[in-house]
This record gives sequence, C-alpha cells and structure tokens, in this order.
Amino acid sequence: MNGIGGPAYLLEGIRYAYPGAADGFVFELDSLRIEPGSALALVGPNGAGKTTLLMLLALLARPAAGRVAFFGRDAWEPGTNEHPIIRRDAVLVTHHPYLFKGTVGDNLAFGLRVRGVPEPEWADRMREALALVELPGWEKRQAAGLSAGQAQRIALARALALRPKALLLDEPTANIEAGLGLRIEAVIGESVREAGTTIVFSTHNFSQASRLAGKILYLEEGKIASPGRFW
Amino acid sequence: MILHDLFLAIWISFKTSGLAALVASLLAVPAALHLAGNEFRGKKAVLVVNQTWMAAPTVVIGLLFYFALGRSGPLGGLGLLYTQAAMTIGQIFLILPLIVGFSYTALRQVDRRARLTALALGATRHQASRVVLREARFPLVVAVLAGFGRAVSEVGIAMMLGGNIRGATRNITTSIALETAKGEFTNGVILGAVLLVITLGINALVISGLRSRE
Amino acid sequence: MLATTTSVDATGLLDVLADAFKKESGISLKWVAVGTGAALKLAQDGNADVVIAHARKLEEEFLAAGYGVNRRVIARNFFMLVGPLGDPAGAAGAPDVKTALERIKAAGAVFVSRGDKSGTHMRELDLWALAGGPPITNYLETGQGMAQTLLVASERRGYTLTDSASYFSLAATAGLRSIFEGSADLENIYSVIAVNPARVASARYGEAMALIAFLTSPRGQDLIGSFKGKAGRVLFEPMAGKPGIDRLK
Repeated sequence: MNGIGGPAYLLEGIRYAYPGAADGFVFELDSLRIEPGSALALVGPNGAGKTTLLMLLALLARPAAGRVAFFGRDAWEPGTNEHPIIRRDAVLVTHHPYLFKGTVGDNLAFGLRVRGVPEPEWADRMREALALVELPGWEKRQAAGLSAGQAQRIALARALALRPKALLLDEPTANIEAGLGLRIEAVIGESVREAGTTIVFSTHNFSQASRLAGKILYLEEGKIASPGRFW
Repeated sequence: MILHDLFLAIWISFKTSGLAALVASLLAVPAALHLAGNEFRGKKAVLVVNQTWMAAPTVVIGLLFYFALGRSGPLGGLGLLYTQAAMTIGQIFLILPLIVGFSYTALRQVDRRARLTALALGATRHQASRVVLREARFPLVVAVLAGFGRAVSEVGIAMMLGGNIRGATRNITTSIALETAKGEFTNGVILGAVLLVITLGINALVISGLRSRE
Repeated sequence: MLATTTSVDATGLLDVLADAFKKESGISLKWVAVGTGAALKLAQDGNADVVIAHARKLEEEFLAAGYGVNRRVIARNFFMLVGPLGDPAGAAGAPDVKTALERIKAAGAVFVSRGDKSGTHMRELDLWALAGGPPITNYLETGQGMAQTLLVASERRGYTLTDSASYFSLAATAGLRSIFEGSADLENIYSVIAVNPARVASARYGEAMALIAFLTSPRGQDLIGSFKGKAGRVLFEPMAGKPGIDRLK
C-alpha cells in the first residue's frame, strides 16, 4: 500500500545531539521518507544510532535541527506535540521493555486508558493482543518476575492493542527463541499487510531484515551508511 | 485528668499534625518529582539546603513563626498566633524537607524507563508523571507517614505557636509538658504512653514499608 | 524550699527578698513558682517547707487539714479585669465586676483564664459565679502562668483577670488595657504559711519560721512596700501587722 496520500514519515535535515555527550556524538540524517504501510529495517552495529532514529520516529526525542513530519504534520511545531497528542499514533517498543507494576492486564490497559478508549472495549483488545503474542489468558498474571522473552512479548502486545498507525520496534525478537521468534515476525508482518501499519524495526539479524522489510537502512556512527538521499 | 480532655488532646494532635502532613506532602511530592526527574545547575545546592533545613530545631522554628505571626509581626493582622492554624503552619515548615528528602529518594529509585515507556504508549507529560508517582506509591506513603510522625511528636512548635490552650491548642505533647509541670506524673505517663503507641506504630509501618521495597 | 505564686516571682520581688533574707539570716532561699493550688499540693507532698499563696479558700482548707501553721498576711494588691483596646463587649463602663463579666459573656467575647487552680484562677471563678458561671464559648484556659495568659489575651484580643503586679510589670500587656478595677471584691491578699512539721515530717520548720519572721518584720515589709521592679511603680502594699489582718472569717 504505497503512495496513498502522503508519506507516513518525512525527515529532513535532522541533527540530534545526544544529551550528556560532551562534544560528542551527533546523529545526522539528510532526508528520509517512509511510505505508509511499509516496513523498514534498521541495521548496523551497536551505537550506530538505530535506537536514536527510532526515538526520533516515535516523536520522543526532539532534533536540534531539522523537520520531522508525521502523516503530513510537523511533529515539533509549537503546540503540536501535546495537543492533540500526535505521538499516540506512533508507538515504540524498547529493546529492554519496562513493565509497570501490577498485572499484565494493567500494563495492556495503560495505553487504552490514557487514550480514553471506552472500558468495555478493553477486554477484547487485550485478548486479541495476547493471542497474537501467544500468551492467551495472561491478563491476570503479575507482570513482575517474567523472563526477558515473555516481557518482550507483553510489551509488544501492549503496543499491538493500541492499533497505532506506526509501530517502532527496537530488536523485537532479540530475547525470543528461534521458532517463536519466527511466529512473532509473522504477526508483525501480518499487521503491515492487514492493518496497513507502518513498521520500522531495528535488528542484528540480516535474514530477519530481508524477510520482513521492504527496505533496509544501514546505519553507522550516527549516519546512514549509504550516502545521499534514501527513498 | 478528665477523659474528655485526653480525647480532645489526641484529636487536636491528629487534626493539626495530620493537616500539616497533608499540606506539606502536596507541596513536597511535586517538588521531589521535579528534582528527581531533572538535572539543573544548583540542584546540588537545593539538596544541601533541604538536608540542612531538616536539622532545624523545633524551638527555633517556633521562635521564627512566633515573631512572624504575632500581632506585632509582619503577618500579625491575621491573628493566627495561639491557634491551631499556627501550629499547623509551623509543623508544615518543620516536616517539608523531610518529606521532600524521602520522596526524592523514592522517586529516584523508580526505573528511568517507566516515564519513557509511559510516553511511548501515548501518555501526556502529566499522565507520565502520575505513572512515576504510582510506581513509587509505597515509599511515597512511607514518606508522608514519616512526616506525620515527626509532626505529631514535636512539642516546641506546638507549645510556642499554640499556647497550650485547653480544648483548642493543647495537644498530646503540650499536655504532657503541662501535666509534668503540675506534678501530675500519672497523667503525664498516660499521655506519654498514648504518644508512644502512635509513634511506634507509625515507625513500624515506615520501617516495614521501606524494607518491602526490596 | 518555698512554693510561691507566679506573680510574686515573675515581678522580681522574690529575688530582692531572697537576697536580703540571705544577708540577714544566712539562709539560702530556693523556690518554685506555680499556681496557689499547685503550691499547696507541693507542700502537702513534702516538696516545700513554706508557701506564699493568695487564695483564701484554698489556704483555709490547707490550714484546716492541718498541713499549715502560722499563716501571716504579708502584702496586698488588686485584681484587674483587662481586655482589648477596642473593648468589643463594652465592658469598660460597667458599674461593677458582675456587670462587666455579664457583658463579656453576652458578647461572646474571648476570655482567657489561668485554668490552673492558682489564686487568680480561684478568684476568677468566684467572680464568674456572680455572673452565672463562666462562658461556654471562647473561654480559653491556658493552664499556665500570668505572663503566658496575658500573652494569649493580647494576641487573641480577649479579656482576662490579672493581678496588678503582673499587669504592670510584665511586657506581655501590649494591646491590653484596664477594663475594670477598684472594687472590694477585687482585693488580692498574699499570705505566707509554714508547713506543719507534725503533719509533714520533712518540713524544715525552723527556716520556714525565720522566713516568715523576716517577711513580717519592718525591714521585710519595707522592702515589699518599696519594690518597683520593671514597672517603675509600687506593686505590693505591705499589710503585716495591721490589726485583725490575720484573722480568718
């Protein structure tokens, strides 16, 4: 589903300075365009800037210079980011996800609650999301003490339940063993095809990148490794 | 000592110190939240000031507010001296740094990822702050209880700013002081026992609350 | 050890008397200042050898129970009804104490009481009895000495009963003025009583009698009568030896 309406993301002239990095490391991006409903893989060594780019796309990090347009709207135009909250349509799942205290259900409900989704809908959404990550019926389990893989799947379910326009995943199957990992990949892929979600994910796994993504971006030291514009 | 006076004193202690704990918390917790979540120039100085403030003797605080609230002082027009309000005000000043300190520690211990996760899931800045507070809810309650415990067991401020008026500003601690001065040691001991039960009870809650953090 | 009323101590009179007494007799006087009720109780418990009091009823009980002997009147001043400068209850123009108190009660004005069974407190309650009892609302009992009570009255803009010595020598009286004074039922008599060694074994009777002798001697009386303290005016009127003064009705 390409080219219907404008791009999902259009980044131009981005310069981002890492907080606390003295002179330091800077992330630069000339231009990046991501079509709605497409899947983009970010590949590169640790510290190359994959997580930074995901944060920028999640509208959680603000660039020092440049423009981030999300579905046609300038994300950092004064007043845009909080009201209405456009970053609700871009959900990030971090590499080592943090689960809130309480039950799995409480975690899944969080995003629904802050968006004001009516409570009667919650049960269905949560069931659906947990089924996708193969943890059905886990609503009442305590979120504490889960394995890294389980936590990662819960975090993914948490994001899927929100049906965002853009899904940003930092190493989504890093802690999940091979067979299950492939099935989770399939779920992610489904979400692109069926719902038209725009997906950007980072990975160390080249085959995963080719399997899932329509395009691959190579990052090195805060820059795109392939020079010039990347469409 | 009339039972009625005893119950009045206990009620006044809870009312004045309870209100002080409540108001101080409403001021202290947001302040601690801001401190815990941000780095800025002078932050260290703020923490040092808070620490020093915690060490202020109650009689000095009592003296300060005595002059401020008395008729000839800057706030004299309000006629607050020797009222419950004055006791509460003095005690707020006493326990504020305590609650800030405890809350700051509690909030620092909340995983930094909590706020980020909340934001990533679409929370507004305020909603994300509420998440952080909720993640720290047990130690925060402990902080408030600690503040209350400090307020309810002090006597300098209550005496100087309250005036120990029967049924109005005579609380547990000032009653103990009075009964002892009158030579009524039995009454003093009874009141002391009541206060001890209250403060030990609170302390037990505080300590077990802090322990269960692990 | 002397147990005395707070007004005699707070004015500084006792310091002067103790000094002179020491010079004359070599006896060091130690004292604690509490209300009359507490003073008499201390004596009963054997914690004082001699008492200075100013509550006739309590003193009579004390003597009748055999705890005290040799009561001698030593001085006199007057109680005063004092109150806020604005006099919200309009008590100032009253013809007598009873009316003044009734007006205060009717206006619901703040009245501050010693509330400590001191001589002043006892007189205050006697006077309220004339007016149908103390007020129910805005009646603040400090349970403490005259200085603290006057402070509270001043801060809370209330009325209170005080002895003249305290009123004129304590700094606490800014914001207060005299509302009613001068009637016979406001007379305030101070007397000294020795603790009976027959009832309280530990009482140092000899020294107690020496003090009483000193206080009623011309020299002692002269010191009392000329004492000005901070106020710059005479606070106590020497009364010892006036015919019939020691007689209890």
